[in-house]
Amino acid sequence: MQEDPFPAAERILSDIESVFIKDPELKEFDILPITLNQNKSPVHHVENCLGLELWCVRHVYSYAYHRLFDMRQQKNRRADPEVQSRLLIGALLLNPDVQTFWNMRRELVQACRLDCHTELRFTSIVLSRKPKCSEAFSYRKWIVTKLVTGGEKGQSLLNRELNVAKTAANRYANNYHAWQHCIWSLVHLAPCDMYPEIHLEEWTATRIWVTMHISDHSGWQYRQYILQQLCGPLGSKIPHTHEENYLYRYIQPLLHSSNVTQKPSDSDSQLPSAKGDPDQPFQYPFAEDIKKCSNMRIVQCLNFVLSEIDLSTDLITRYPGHEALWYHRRFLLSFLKSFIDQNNCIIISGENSDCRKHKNTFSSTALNNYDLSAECVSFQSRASGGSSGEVTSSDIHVFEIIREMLYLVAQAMSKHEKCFVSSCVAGDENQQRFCSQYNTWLTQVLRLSVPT
Amino acid sequence: MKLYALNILYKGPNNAVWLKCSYDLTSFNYFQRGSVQEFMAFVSKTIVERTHAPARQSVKEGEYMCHVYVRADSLGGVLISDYEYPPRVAHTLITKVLDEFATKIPASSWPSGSESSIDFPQLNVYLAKYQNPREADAMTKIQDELDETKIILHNTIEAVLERGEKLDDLVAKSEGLSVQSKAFYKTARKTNSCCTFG
Repeated sequence: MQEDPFPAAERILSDIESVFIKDPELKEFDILPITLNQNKSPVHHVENCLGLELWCVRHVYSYAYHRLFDMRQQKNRRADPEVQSRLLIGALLLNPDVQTFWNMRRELVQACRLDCHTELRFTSIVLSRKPKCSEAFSYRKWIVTKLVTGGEKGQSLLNRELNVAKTAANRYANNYHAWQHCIWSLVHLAPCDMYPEIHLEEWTATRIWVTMHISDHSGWQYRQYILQQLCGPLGSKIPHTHEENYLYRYIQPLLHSSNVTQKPSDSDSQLPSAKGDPDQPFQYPFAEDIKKCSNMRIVQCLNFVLSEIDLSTDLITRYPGHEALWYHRRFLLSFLKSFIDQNNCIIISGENSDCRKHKNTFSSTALNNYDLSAECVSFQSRASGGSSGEVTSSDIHVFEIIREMLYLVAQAMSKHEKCFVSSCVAGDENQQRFCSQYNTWLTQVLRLSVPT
Repeated sequence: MKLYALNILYKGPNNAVWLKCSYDLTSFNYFQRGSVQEFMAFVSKTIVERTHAPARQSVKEGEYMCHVYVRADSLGGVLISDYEYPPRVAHTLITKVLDEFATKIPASSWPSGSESSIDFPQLNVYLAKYQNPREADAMTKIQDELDETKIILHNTIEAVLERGEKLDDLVAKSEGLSVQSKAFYKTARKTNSCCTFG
């Protein structure tokens, strides 16, 4: 045992606890750098913020720590749950990285000695001082799971979880635990097939966040997760919004700017190759046909990816020398490539025609790395608009159009990336390094072949 | 991307004086804000005093950047931002603010000026408006004139100090910092001196 326990500790701990009870709007906890005991209460409570003076932290923590571990070791001798809870509040506010303390709180919750909603509030205050505390986040997950099992609506919990995690993300850059908590919350409280509009909202909201936190890897990772959901098998119910026609926003300008020509010897109509005249509405091969597909999901998905690539281009040029932006771009390009490859598989298997012939035709192009794996078959029904039964001749026509469009997009993207890389080579020293690494990656990892 | 402080100072023969200051410290914990503000004011003054006019400097200190411009007429501007904020935009903003300040407030009142005697509310507006450099107004003209190679870059604040000077000593003997802020500085130093997870 301690030789002389700090006499005021019990008093300070109950002061802290009473602030929690008194103030339901409490927002923050912090330690005040006051090193001398001025013979006043070291507990401050101003404008919904709780502060504890530095000089007493050591003593209070040591007192709470030893008492809690004594209790833990003599489990059978029943400790008063109220005392235990009070000690835990103090100990966890000062040092939330101790898993044992969180487990003791879990036991109190299990025994119905603590209320789940109060616990969520308590964790958010712990996170205000230690925004990167993974134990606090996992405790939150445990509580939320318990609430959902108890019948609470996931959606009502979701907003609070996202807010708490994002506040933590604002406080601490590259806060992996916080953004991971957002992903967890979406997966468990609002899966994409049931709450497509929430994913769309997050997509819009994080766009603003990332432009203000350009070097935050973890924030970008969250956005990558949402993009994968929007374009993935669960995202088929994403409503068509903002742009009345997806084609015009990003796809057409991309095809236009890189001035791609149609794929040789694989189509019936032999239109002349396109000319990049900005005054004329752009006419590339199949232009009219592609317009018919403008509301298809595949076009919607392409639009999500291309809009993000557009944002990436803007940010990289505007803020040179930030590695996180370049890594995000790598993700986008490989995502786009696998998206195109995957959909080509579906189309080919959907056309139910001679796959070999197409495979041969494609092998000379930039999209040659696909194979007809079993996975592709599961996408088949999605591509053919839900009817997985027979394939009609009009279906085949649509397939052809889409295949043509995908080919054009892939080709245009290759050109676009090469242009982009050459536009970034000057200037900032770091930017040059990232740019040349990216260029190497494009050719050696992504195996992007540039159309001539 | 975040701007924390925008200060205008006058660099006198012996020391610098604050003419107008503006802060946005909402991203700090409530109890830290007072000390952070005192400390940012102290850094602004220290750095203006050690910049030989006319010159531009950008000093990196941890996750913060301190941009300073002292004009030939001894008017100085300091902008404290995070490391993401583009230095070019930062210096454009300082230039713009100092130009406007010089036209509004006559040079004769600078040496004796103080926060309360000078009326220049635009400073707060600029600090808020430039938080997002994308949305800041068209500054193309000044940007073209701004020669980036003229900005002297330093990787630590110690590099700006004169030979033999130590930041710890300057903090210890500063009159502008309260006891609490000095203690805050000491704990912050200690925390940052080793790697901590969480």
